[in-house]
Amino acid sequence: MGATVVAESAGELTPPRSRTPLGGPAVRVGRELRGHPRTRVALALLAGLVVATVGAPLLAPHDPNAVLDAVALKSLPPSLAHPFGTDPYSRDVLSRVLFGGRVTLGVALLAAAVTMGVGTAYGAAAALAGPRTDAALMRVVDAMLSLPRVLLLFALVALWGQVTVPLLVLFLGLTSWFGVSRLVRAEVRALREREFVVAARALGGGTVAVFFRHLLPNIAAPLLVAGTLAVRNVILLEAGLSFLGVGVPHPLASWGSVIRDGADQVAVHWWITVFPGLAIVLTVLALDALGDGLREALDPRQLPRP
Amino acid sequence: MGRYLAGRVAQALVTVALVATVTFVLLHLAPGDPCLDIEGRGVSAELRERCRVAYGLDRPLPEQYVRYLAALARGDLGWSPSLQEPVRSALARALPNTLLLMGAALALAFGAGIAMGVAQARRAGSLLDRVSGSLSMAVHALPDFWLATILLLVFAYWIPILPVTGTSDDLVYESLSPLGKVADRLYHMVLPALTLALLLFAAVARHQRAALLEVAHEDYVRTARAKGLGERGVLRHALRNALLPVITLFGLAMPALVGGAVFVERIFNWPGMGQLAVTAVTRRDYWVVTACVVVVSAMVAAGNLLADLLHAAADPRLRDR
Repeated sequence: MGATVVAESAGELTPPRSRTPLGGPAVRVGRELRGHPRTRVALALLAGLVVATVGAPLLAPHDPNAVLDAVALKSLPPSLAHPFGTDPYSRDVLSRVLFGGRVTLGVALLAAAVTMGVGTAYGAAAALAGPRTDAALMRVVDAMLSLPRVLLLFALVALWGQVTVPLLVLFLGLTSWFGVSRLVRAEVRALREREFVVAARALGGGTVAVFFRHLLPNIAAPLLVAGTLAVRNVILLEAGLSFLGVGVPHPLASWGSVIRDGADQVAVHWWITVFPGLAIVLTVLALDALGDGLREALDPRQLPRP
Repeated sequence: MGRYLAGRVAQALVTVALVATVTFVLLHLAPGDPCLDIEGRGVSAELRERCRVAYGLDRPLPEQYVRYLAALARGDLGWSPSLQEPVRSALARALPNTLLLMGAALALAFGAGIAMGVAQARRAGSLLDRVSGSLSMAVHALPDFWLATILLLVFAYWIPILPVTGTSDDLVYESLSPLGKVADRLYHMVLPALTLALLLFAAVARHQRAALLEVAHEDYVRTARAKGLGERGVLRHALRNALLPVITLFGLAMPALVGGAVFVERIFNWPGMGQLAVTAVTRRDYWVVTACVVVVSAMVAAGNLLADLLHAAADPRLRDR
């Protein structure tokens, strides 16, 4: 706790923060976000999507993989009975989109968690290691950032045959952390010479302990913003891979795989492609707006001057 | 400047070598090999073994790796078992198509994006600014493959004014005049190039707007105004500085553009590198896949290098670094 006191007494080095009279940072961020109409819409939208996908077994009119009637109900346009139409196997597209959302959002959240974990560890290691190790580690990141990720993931999954969902999560997470590691490295480097970190070390704190106790809480804000960005990026990446036929295993529905079911004959049955695509667009838009809102709420420089 | 450039080129080479290594390892760790698929599944064990020997796949992995890197350093990309031709000639066919597509997309996206960003920043807060801001945010949220499919649906099927797929009209192309041939190719490029450009355009416009607003409060802008310069002159001063973040975006955009090209080429049946690589993957053709990945990462490295050079051109302070 001593180090925190040091941090606050070193006030002349830290940019002036406007402190609201009541409540901690979480309350302040919450208030800031609520005051933002766009963020409010985004949060409502995300909440709606989560409810709709988590509640898919209750909400969906049909089993997402059930072949309802391969002759009479094949590729029907949207109607009251099937609001999003049916696909060539006579499956109900609305049910597939609802259940697919569980897969898409679940995979994205887990893969983003992997991304944030690995990226944070790697970036922090680079920032806290010596200059040579740092340079070597960051060269690797430079190279990885220039990899054509879609192509490589496509090759990997295609060569391994059909992958299971946990393996897909791992693949997605392990190829998405490069940008995060750069961000964490820059943030940690900016902090590591500050008095409160130096003091914590002088008091005998080990590198790992100092990182978790003092550095991590101070970079939580940019990490949170990067986290929403990671979720959004993984959603798009997973959808792309599923579209290429190397995403979630058949016949499991994800938004990308449903799009694919309709894409090769989009002129014949556009509804199979359009609706899951709209679900992706809405989710990504909401995440973007949430990220923007969080950035504004968490960045002290954007607060009104006291 | 010369030393700086040499250092950056060396760095780019290291990057490409690292990428080649990662790709090699990942591909060779996967089960199966190209000899499985060459003559179908029913290949006899003896034939398969002969194929493995012919392609050097029977040797230990480290030896294969060293041989591959050595060949790569000589500019030899190997022989493609699935295409039965040198990888280099397959690439020579596909690469110009991809470069054409990406070049058109880059020109469109940066030209229109910068113009849009400037227009927005000049009337920041106006209706135009807010509407186009929301629009570019929406475009930014579109999955590339979905956008391509939807554009195809709308402009090739529902309102059939643009061709569906391919690079030219096979039926009449040979009988066209040279000018007609160019026109036909451009006509076929509209949809794929537009898809690729739209996604990047949104990012460019956002960056340009933000960068211009950022410098709008700088002292030199006030000085320029104070000495009586017109708005156009002020804009010229401001824009030169506000271009820097947009140039950075040029380097950063390359990987996304390449990823987009994979989808766009597939959906519009555009015979470029993305198509080549995807087909090669399904046939376990390591050589073509690795070559494509290496070429793409070289393109990304070149894009970053170009961004650095443009930076130096736009900002004299960076030249003597």
